[in-house]
Amino acid sequence: MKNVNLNLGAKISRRTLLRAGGVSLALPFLDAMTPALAKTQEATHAKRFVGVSLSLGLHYPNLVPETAGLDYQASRYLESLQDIRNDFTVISGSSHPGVGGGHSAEGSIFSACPNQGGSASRNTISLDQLMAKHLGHETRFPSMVLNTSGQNSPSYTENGAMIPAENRAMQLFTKLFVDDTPAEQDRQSQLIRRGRSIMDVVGAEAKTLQRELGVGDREKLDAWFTSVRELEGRLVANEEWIRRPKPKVSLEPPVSVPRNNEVAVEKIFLDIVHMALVTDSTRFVTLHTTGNGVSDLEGVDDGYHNLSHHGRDEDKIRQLSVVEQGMIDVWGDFLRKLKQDQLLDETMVLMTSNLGNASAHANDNLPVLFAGGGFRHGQHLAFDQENNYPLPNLYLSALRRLGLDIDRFATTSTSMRGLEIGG
Amino acid sequence: MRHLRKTGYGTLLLLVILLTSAKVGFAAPPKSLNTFLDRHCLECHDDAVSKADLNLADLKFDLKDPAKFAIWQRVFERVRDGEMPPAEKPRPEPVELAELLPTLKEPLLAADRFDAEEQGRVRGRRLTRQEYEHTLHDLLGIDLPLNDFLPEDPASHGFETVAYGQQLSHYQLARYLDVADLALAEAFNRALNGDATNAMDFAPGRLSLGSGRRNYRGPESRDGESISWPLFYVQFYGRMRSIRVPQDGWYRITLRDVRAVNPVIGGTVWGTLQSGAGLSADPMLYDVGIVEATETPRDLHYDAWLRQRHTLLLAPNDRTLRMPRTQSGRPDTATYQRRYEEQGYSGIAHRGIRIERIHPNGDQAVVRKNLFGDTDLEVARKNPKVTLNQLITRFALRAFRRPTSNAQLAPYREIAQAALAEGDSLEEALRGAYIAILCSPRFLTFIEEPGQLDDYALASRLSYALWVSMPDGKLMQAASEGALRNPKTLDVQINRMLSDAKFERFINSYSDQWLKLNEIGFTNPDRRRFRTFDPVVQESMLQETRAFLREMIQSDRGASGLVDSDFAFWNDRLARHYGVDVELESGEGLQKVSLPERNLRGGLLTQGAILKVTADGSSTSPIVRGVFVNERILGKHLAPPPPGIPAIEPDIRGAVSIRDQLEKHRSNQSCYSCHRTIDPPGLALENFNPVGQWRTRYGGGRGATIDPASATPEGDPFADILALKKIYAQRDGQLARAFTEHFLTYATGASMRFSDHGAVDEIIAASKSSGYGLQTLMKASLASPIFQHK
Repeated sequence: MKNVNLNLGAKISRRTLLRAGGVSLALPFLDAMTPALAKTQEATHAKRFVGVSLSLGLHYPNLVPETAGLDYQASRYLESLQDIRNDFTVISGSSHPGVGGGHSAEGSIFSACPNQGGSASRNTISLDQLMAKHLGHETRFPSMVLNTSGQNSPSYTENGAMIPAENRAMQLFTKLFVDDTPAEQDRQSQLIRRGRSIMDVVGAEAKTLQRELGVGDREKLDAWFTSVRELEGRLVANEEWIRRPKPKVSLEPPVSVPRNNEVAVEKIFLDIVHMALVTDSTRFVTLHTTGNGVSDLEGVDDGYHNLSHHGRDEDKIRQLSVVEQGMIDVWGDFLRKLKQDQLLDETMVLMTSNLGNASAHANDNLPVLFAGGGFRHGQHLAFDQENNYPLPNLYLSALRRLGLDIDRFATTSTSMRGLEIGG
Repeated sequence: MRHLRKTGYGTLLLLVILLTSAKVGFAAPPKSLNTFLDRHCLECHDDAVSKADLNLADLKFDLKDPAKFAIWQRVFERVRDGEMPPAEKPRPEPVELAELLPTLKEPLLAADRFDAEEQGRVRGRRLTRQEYEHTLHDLLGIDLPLNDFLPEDPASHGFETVAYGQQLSHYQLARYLDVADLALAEAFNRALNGDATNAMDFAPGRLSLGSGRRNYRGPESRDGESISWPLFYVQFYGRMRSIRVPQDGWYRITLRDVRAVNPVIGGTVWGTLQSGAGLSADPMLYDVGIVEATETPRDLHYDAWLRQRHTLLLAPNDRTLRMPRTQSGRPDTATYQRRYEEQGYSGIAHRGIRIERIHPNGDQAVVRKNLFGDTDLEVARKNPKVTLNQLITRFALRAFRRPTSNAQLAPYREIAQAALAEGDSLEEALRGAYIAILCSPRFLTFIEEPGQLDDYALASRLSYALWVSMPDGKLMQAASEGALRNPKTLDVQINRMLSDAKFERFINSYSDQWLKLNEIGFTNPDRRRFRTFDPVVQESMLQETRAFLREMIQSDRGASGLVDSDFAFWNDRLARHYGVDVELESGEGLQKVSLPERNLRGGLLTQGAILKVTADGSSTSPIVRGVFVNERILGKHLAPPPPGIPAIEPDIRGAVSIRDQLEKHRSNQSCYSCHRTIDPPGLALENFNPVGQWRTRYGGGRGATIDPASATPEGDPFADILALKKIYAQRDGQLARAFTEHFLTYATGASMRFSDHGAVDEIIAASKSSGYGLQTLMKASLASPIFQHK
């Protein structure tokens, strides 16, 4: 049943269906399709989003094809993705308006929040969290925020707090696929019962303290209210999940994670993400890659960060290319798996970075690969590298693709030009 | 006009400020400013050119707006420091500066003081996870590690304690709820059911169980001893599978009669004791401690948190040791037919291991007292409602670190009373209220009202500053007597705190953050290039720097010692790593060593830990080290590239060494303006490789010769790090200021602001006669208005 629905969604756009409605009625397989048709309204939306953000950019000359449009000539990095060429779009010449500050732009990569060259104190909600806020309630985990190495993440709550990333693959695996002991389940469920009255008190205390302590602490205490309110919501939702068995998967638990092979670490995490999507444990994921160890890769003997500061040195660029090709290929494999499971058309998968030319710490001309989600792909959207096209437009497209009726995101109110639905 | 809440002196001060500001005006620029701007600034910074995105022509003199304040402050500082107008432009006349600077400084100061007095320097600071863990341990008497359950704290202005960078989300709050529950479950369980006791003895024969099997990786058992050899290439070598930890907990591990087999120079063999599952399906190992085996056998003790089902691994771990080889290329662990001792290989022998459960933060009686006071629960059950209220009041006083009114406590009591009414036991009801207390912002944040801190807030600040935890009974007592603002009482309390064992937490926490020691494990040095770097060296480096900081503070050493000292703390493994020839007592661990007048290793800059955290695993960067020295030691604030400067892509093709690469980089004027400050100390430190060893050439001695010479931005040339250390040591006032500002940032939870500089000047001036002793600086800081105001 599911397959039928998915194929339909992929092959026939909603407009086609509406136009052909009268004819379709006569077709013999229609009865079998009725439930699927009812879901077709939904199938015109994507359901999931996975954002992979590289903290060190991608070398533009190797990434960006020389020609634009549908029949673009594959660039060096994209050669290996040609079998799934029609499943992704490569976007050049775009960036986030008002976002700068080199590495400190990390916080804005999925929020697109202008950051005053890295000195801004407040962030705004990130794309994935906005999605999870509206649509995350159907799964055990409204979202997953991951990092290959540290706890930094590009995922931010509505009041601008960074969500600490899970960076331990084994912990992630356990959380998703290993049942808690009955004793732990009991503790959790008692805690949730208690938690609600406790949160009432905490919220009230924050309010009292605002009066006692004056304006200086107001902003911090405001974060307490919002957090209390959000946690109360989460506690209610979690109660349902505590005793439900977690899905069992054939994936081996990631008992050891290599220290000097960031590409292998990316793969370990994306393999788990893949199973999390297959089992519908979550629908919104960010994975930030921040590991510096790459010296176990063939032909690489320096650190990732050092290599990204190649200063046009040929050997450094050669080594960097080995790393970056690896990072892209792992992402490509992830797409292939989603495609094989027929999940890709419902899943938007982004790979990008807060850095364009990392060697110059530049925050324009960001690398962008965007796949799935039922968009018409197979093209190179080449925007002006001198005068960048706003990348937040892509985020608004993605949000709307989920069926969210959203007017604005960060600095934009426009969907991305040239990115059409259907295909 | 804003509502003024403070009375007395505070109001008076405010009134003066308000009057001044009303006269000078927050919004009206001083007259001399416009003239000066016209003459010296607007050529580049007007609406037409706006260099560095700065347009002073349209910038309102509105000092209440934090963004505009920051720009005007920067204008003031750059003009004062002679950085602006830039060198190629005409200098302002001294008389112009004499007119401008005070008239600009006054309104800036007034505005900043007004803001700080009204809202406080520190706004809504909460406990870091390290503070949280220590607090729960002290509050409850438990010893469960809690750090890993909480998210890392982002550092802001270099420190995790800084409120500005601390965030709160429902994720964080959910963790607090969960950890409070876990911690209280542990405490109640211990208080009600008693402490687990466990003691196990393992004789050498038992430790070698399984010896002879093909996959055996344990020690050899010979002549009543258990012996491990340096078989580095065997994963989990030294694993003793007969040891199996019965349950999670703290244990005292005693290694009996530890003996160095064929000791190396210094009379020792160094090794590591680790815990872990020791299985390829679960390869994570945890460090217990380093082992210094001596020729004379002796017992060694270690206290460590061990996890259930884990085992222990003990092995030599000095990578300079010769490894025994066998014909097959595999070790003879299966049979140990070869007599490694007779063949001269070094090893570590001992006569058995004892493992005993301990409770380092207190036994059941302590935990019980923390939860229930002196209440007899059986008696209390007859009148549970009253007991609950009493116990909650008592617990809240300690947890909230100040007395709380009945009205304020009512909601916590209600939680317990409601639970009781629903049929929960007295203990369960109490636990519910305690969880709520531990999730309250009164517990998790610092309750500080604007203006001068009250005694309880001051007690908390002191305690978190020096103990990384809540105040103890004596400090609370002093607070309740209103005595802490009396300088003499304060001094007595500070002395008491400095000599308490808990001050060690400060040494660890402060050195972790200030000197980034918590990053020492971030990168693994490339094994092929740095063959002799091992876990013993890394741990010894940490110990060295911490012992150094402790000595600097406890003996009130002058600030110049931070960069150039005549002493250091080494063990013989570290001394060998540094390649220094020094007489050390075998078996004494870290020892204080006197250094000659011109020495390489005295002071922080050339300590292994600092050199390692400022390098990655394979190479060094003068920029990273230069930024570290400038920011952490010299206290310079390096501005990020100003917005609007186009990113310049360095082109290092053809450059041979890092220095050449930097020269290319620096040849660009806009890069040079900052890199002339950043690079010099980094270049001088190029003589040290990523693991802190001396070198004169790159590429393991075969590459380009290192040229460490450069000049400070002030124009003092230096030939090498020795010379640079002497230059820095002369600037002890600057070093003292840097140390003071970092300490105050850490201790208060807010970075230095414009109006703090006067108070810092006073601290520095008052400490001059002590040669800027670090303890003197710390004490003066704790007594300063910066520390004693919100």
